[in-house]
Amino acid sequence: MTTSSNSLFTLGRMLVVSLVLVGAGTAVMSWNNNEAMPEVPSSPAAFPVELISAQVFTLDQPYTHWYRAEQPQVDAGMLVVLKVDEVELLHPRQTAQPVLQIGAQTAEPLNLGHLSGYVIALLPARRLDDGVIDLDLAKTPIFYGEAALAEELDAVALQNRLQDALAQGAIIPSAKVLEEASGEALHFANDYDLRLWAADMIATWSPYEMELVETMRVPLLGQ
Amino acid sequence: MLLPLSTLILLSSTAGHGLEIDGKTSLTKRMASPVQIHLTGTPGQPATLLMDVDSGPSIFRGISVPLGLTPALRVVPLGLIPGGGVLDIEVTLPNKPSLHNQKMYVIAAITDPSLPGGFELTNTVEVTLVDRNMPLAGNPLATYPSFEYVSAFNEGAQIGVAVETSEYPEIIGRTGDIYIVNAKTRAEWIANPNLVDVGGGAQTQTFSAGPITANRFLVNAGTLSGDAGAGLGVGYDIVIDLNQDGVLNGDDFIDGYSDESGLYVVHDLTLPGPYSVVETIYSGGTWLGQDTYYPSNIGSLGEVPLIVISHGNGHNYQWYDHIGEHMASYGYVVMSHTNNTGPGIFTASTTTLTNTDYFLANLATIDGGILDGHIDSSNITWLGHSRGGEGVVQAYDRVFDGLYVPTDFVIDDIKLVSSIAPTGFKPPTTADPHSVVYHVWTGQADNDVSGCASNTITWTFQIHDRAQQKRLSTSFHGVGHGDFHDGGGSSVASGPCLVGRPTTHTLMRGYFLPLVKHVIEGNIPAKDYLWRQWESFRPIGSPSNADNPCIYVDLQLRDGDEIDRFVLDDFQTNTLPTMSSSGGGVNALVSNVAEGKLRDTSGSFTHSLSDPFNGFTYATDADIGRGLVFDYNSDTTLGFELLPADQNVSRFAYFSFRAAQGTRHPLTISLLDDQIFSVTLTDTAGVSSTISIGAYGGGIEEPYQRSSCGTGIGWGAEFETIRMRLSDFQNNGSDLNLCSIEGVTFNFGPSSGTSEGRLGIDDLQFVAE
Repeated sequence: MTTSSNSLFTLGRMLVVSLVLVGAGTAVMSWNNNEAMPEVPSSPAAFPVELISAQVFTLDQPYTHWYRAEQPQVDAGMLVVLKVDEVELLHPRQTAQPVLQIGAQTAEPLNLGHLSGYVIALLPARRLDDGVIDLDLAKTPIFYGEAALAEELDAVALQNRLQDALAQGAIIPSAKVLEEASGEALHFANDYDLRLWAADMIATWSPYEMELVETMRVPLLGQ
Repeated sequence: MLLPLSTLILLSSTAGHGLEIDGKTSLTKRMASPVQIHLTGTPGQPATLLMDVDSGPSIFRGISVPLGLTPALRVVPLGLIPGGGVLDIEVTLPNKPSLHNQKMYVIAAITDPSLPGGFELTNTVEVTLVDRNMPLAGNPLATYPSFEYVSAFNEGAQIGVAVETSEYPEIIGRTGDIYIVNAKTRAEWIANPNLVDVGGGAQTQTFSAGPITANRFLVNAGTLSGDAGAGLGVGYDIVIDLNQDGVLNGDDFIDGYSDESGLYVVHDLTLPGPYSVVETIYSGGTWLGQDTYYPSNIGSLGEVPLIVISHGNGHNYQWYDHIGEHMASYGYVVMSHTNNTGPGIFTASTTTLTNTDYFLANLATIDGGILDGHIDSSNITWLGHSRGGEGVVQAYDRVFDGLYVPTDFVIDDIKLVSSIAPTGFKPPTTADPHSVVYHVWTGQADNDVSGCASNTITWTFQIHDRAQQKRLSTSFHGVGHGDFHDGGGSSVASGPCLVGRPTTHTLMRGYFLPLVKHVIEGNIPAKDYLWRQWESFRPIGSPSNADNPCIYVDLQLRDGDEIDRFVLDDFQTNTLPTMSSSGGGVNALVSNVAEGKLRDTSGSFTHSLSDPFNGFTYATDADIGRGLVFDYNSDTTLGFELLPADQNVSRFAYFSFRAAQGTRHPLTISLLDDQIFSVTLTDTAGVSSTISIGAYGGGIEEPYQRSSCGTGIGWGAEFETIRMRLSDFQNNGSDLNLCSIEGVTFNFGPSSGTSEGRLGIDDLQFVAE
């Protein structure tokens, strides 16, 4: 993995924030003991999704993006941290869940986030000829669309959902937010290493999910 | 006594003389049994019985003989035909192990000097000889049939023996010693017929004419060991030594003269097995994290079956210790893997497939290769939870349809697919278990895959009802979605009297072990745990409703074509309520009858006359599962006719069906208790016999008393299987002829059990043992 020179600063900032979040997370811990399954909020795109950090990533080996019907191969995108106040959007359930979208593309959440309100996700993007990725957060809303199985959503469906989301009030991150959120670019050999890196971010932003983090850190067979 | 054939048979053509054995011209009898010969012929003429293993015909002295005239030909002189022209005489069938399952062709030759050949031959009677193996071990019942013959007994339970003397009249008036002996195979019995009692000493009893209650005895107070190590059930045989010589011979009675034991004593299935367990966690990369459990002595166990666990959405593959530890302690290898449930069911199915392949392809590496050469990859069980529960079905379907080609296993290697609270996103075209043995777990308090009528994705039984062959279900009241894993946190449960995670895991251990033992290994006593009424029989460590008032367990088991069966009515064809799927008439005197799809159409569990299948969540619009619903509040009946071609049910062991109470119906609410009714079999001679389903303990359970999903209280309709042993209907000399059953009648109302109720019924079939 290679990062730019300000990575220590960024990591330090994440750790500071995580200490703050321990207290903030306690406020939503009641989910853990709540026997009732919360209803999926209606008009989910109306609930704000705040961009906390965003780092471009590139990979030597692509991986399959399973979160849409076309199942494209992905070798670039953004690793983002999102803050979601309406945690009912995130509550894990077996029935259909709101689907995280960035514009007309689905994102892959790497953690649940319902206990902390923070979601770490991969936003797939195409790598253009000049090496720049085809994802401009300044033009693209991040939102939770209506409950569905992401694997069943194709380009047409995603475009329609984007229009619905815009109608519900989905917003594009402001320039100020983008400036504060932008982090160093990341490069890995493959998505396994990317996810290992992301596991540290989950540990930082959503410390209630250390069990998930540990499963992501399980060593590769033979190593 | 054998006489030279040439001295007995001066053959002529077969004419009007008649021969019957036990009143029949085709029958199956145990060897050494007495049979009644009924022969008509010319008075004063000598008659001879001829038996051969070949039906011929042969030419003897220019005349056609309906026998093969093989070296096995037996000749038995019968004496003279009496003056009335009818000879009734009892003869004893031969008894040689080599004759087991041998069809004998029997004719009589009657001397008639007036005929050209000097003899006349009768018709042929076919007698199939079988070993002297009969059910003896079981439990006394408070009401008719007064005794149930069973395979499995829990360790510490009393063991009874009973003989129905109308079936075995030769025992009347005789005294025998009843032995419980360590089980022997048939070959071992032939090699060593000596009797050594292990139950505290042989018990001497005299058998008398009368009802079965006159000939049922307690033979063991529960002292027999059930310690089968990693197995399930210690086998014992029961022998009634009628000549009291300490040897199995003559016409002694035996239960267990085969590779199947007469009975099995079973230890507490909820407790760990004998092997210590090693757990190892590793990853093969993205979506290839695996948590594997195996017995520490795997190196000495040969090849053992594999169980693969696919978790649910938001769950973790390390949350199934209660399954992994338990099954590995009994000699299985269990691999639980990361499951890509977030995108959906297809992706989950992909990770089930890729992880199974990865595991099998990397045995040389996992934990230093200790598993290499010790996995029986031809015996794989897939167990999935929620989205993973549907995923394992889609995984099977994809391989079945050729849409995924595994690298390290084939479709036939998947022997059992079990789903815990599966979702129902996918239609039958992509989530079909086809012919694999399929099992489903349901928690009636599940607040995620809830089963509410409003969302078919939460209907846990729909995949079960798609299964075309053997299918089973286990339904627990008071159990939530999160109770099935051990990840802690919420039970994700809603409803009264919640059971909680530890008790749920005890229930799961006690059921999953016999499920796998039965399906994968063909274990015989394990099957008893999969269908006998929970109220009267369950694993020792599993609580009953008396132990814990929240515990209600409803079981379904429908056998498929893996065994001989005749489906009387599954309501899939001949869709009018007046005709069964097998083509016979249906006479429904019950009220408000509706035959149709087992589908709640109202979107809620609120009672409505316009939604006759209220609470039935077994078939979506895309499914085809059908059944019959009705209600009653007085004595009434529901009858099914057997067509003549189907009336011989003597080859079957059980009459089986499933029934469920209609939720929130006024006639259900009024009692809120087990529904009890009776079943009558009637033969073509008009003889009938009736047994209450309550005789075996329990009945059809009332719905879980959970509110929401509409107005009122009561959750989804839960089918339970009832299996009634056909020979039970013959107890107390009922004279019911199982060779010619013309009708099955369900009797409802106060004279037959519960005074009123609303029921659904389905899958009426006769099945072999």
